[in-house]
Amino acid sequence: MKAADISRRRLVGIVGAGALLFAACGGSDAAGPTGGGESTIPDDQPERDPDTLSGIIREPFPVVNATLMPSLTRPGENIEFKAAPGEIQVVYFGFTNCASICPTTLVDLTVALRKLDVDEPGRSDRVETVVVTVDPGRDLELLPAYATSFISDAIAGGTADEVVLASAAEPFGVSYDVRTLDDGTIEVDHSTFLYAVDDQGQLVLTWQFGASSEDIAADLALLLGRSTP
Amino acid sequence: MSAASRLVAVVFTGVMLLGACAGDDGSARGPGLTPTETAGAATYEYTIPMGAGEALDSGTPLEILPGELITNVGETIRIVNEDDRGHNVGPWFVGANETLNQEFSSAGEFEGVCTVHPSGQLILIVNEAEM
Repeated sequence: MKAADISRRRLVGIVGAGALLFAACGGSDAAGPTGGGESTIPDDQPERDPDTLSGIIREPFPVVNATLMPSLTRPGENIEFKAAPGEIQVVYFGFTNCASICPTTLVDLTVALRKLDVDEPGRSDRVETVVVTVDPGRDLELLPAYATSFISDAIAGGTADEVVLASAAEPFGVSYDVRTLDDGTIEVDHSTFLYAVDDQGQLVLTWQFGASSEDIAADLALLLGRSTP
Repeated sequence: MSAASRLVAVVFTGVMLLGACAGDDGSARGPGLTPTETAGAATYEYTIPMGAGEALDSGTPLEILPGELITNVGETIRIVNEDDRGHNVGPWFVGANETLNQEFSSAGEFEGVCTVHPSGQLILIVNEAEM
């Protein structure tokens, strides 16, 4: 694989346009779980069209439920990338030693889910969060606690089977690479998108890194509104 | 910390996963959600032609998208990938034979890997909507 270093800086507000492919999060400066994140919900965001999704729409919708992912939250069970009827499943591929991208994204999602409930109590119950590790060598035991430190009912998934992980990741467009440097430092490159899957196992929306919690919440509200059981 | 106050600098390692990133062509569609956002022309439209990946493999430089794209909130982009492999295009990934659509909802700036531009990257700037 060919690699090139790219730097990114979020300059103004939310980057509805931010995100990408690979975030290199060196293991040496890794941060642990950061807790539940923000408790406040900014209300100074510009208004947006309430009927328009802000995320990325790929068509035809990629079907992402062909490969089952072993559950780390409930060992012995598998996770299907498919929402329950009338619900939305939000999927993130990351790792626990990720210094900034993963916790930032999960905090944004946490705030988005809270905002959903502010507007309509209990609505976030229709959103299932799945966090899958791209660093199974270090994460298989750690990920459940990491995921629930952000979202209390988040489900953790992971496997040491490289074929299964690659097969699950491919339809999402997830890319990742874990490598050990000469000094023993483990570096992980991974795509930084957040995904919304419907009750047919279709990837219906993708958020780039930097998508605001307001946009995520608004998009989830729209998707839930269209996902009547 | 609000989204507006965060300043995050991250080192990205771009990796071209042309073949490995190929998305599912997703022809099957159940009774779940259906696209409703994509009717009509987009503000910016680009097409990645069939054979783009092979051309890149052979060392042929492609410039399908600009190296810098300056947009406004409320504008839209559409990227049609007619190639048989997925491509990373700045802040987007578009799978094989897929069409990607997005409306820019928030201002910001981003630099990302682009497999279909000679520079290997794409800078996207989204400005606040003009009043």
